[in-house]
Amino acid sequence: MESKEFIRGIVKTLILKLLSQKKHMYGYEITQRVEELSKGDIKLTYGALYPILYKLEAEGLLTTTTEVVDNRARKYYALTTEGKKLAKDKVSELQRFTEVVKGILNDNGRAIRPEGPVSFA
Amino acid sequence: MNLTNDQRDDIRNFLLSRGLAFKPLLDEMSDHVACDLENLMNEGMSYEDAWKQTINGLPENHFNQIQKETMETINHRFTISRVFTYIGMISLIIATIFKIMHLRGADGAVLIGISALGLSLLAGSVSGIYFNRDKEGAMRVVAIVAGIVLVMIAYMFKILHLPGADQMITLGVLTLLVSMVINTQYVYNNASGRGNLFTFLHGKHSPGIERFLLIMLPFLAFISLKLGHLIVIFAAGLQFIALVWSAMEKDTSKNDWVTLGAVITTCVCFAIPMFGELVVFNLRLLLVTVFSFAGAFLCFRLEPSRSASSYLVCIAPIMFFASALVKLGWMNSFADNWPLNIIVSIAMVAAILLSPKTSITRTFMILSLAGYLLEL
Repeated sequence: MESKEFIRGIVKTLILKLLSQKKHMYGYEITQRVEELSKGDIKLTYGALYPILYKLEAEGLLTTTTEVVDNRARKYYALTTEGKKLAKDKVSELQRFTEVVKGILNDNGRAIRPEGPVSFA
Repeated sequence: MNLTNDQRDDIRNFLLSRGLAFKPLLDEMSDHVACDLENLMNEGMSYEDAWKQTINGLPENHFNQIQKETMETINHRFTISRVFTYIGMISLIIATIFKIMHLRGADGAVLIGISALGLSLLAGSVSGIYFNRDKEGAMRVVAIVAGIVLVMIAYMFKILHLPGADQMITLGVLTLLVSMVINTQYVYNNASGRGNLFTFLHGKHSPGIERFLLIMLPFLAFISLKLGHLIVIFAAGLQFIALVWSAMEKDTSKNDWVTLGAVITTCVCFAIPMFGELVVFNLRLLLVTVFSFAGAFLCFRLEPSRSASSYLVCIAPIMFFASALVKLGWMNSFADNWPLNIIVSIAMVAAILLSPKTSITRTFMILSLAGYLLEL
């Protein structure tokens, strides 16, 4: 998948979703998991991942721990209580958004309404 | 397949050469790049080919850009702290100018400067504890910050000749010393650094502290403001010990009883001289000299890679040892020997410039240069 713009818009949600499924993850592990689940279509670059991880941490949505693995420091990220709640909201918002977009793209002339009003601003 | 120590150093030095100086991000990116390389090497690629595939496609400013974006996202949290730091720094620079021009008000500006720096430290710590309330170690942060702030208040009492200054100094120095020793012991026992809030917060602030030290240092070279030198020595000493803790957490192979002994020695030798005249002069002299030896030893032992600056650190203990001999009357003073002083100063400045940003070596040499300028 080529469009970096699409990916940039959903990286935050992808990170939150992956972290909600595991106790904690480190940067490389997140990129690998995204690549694996997308079957290689989405490759997170260093630049797409780290500023967002630090932003989420700064907003109190992630907590971090550092462990020494193979003689080098490894920083693990985990969701805070607030982060878990946001992960749930963001994932459901993205799912609804995907449905809406799918509806528009598959439009055959009929009006399609999602379950409720959707705001993505 | 795991990378060798030299290969890990290659990654770190490469990232540093690309302008990645923010330590937490540097460590994290080093680990990520190392994982990428190991992954490719496990697929049968050579280290050199894995390096080419991982790094060569990236734009020249890639890591610098990541650092810039990262700093922009986290810096807004420390706005109040930063404002106080700027006020403190400007006040100290004004105090220096007043002193040079023999104007009244230099002492007042110094007091404002110290107060602002104390408030900056408090604001940074309080916000840091609040935003990281899930992490362990808030009490140790509070203890260390309390010790630092108490010492600062005590010295303000001393400048203003207020009663109780000596008692405040005793309380502040003891609090600081005990909290530093406890944190050293904690770092030693919890080598992974898991949950150590102090080193975590310090990692975020260390580039700013270094900038402050580097801005203040040139002023010390041209003026005789003892308090200015002491402020830089105090801040650089604390930064040095905090960086040593981080290094102990990051490289467990060097986190042994030898390092523990050297760190506790530096904590004791750094804190006790702050008692000032409450401690006999010869003991202070001895402690400062021992600090310089233990500090240089830690630079040499804990820096991840050797460079010219690693060897230049030996100037500091030699200089402090010679200075102690002069003060004991066992050697002639070298204060008027300008060729020697210029050579030593250039070597120390070279060590500062050649050492990596926010490194133990750079901080130790800043501290040593401030001490050296104080001696002249």
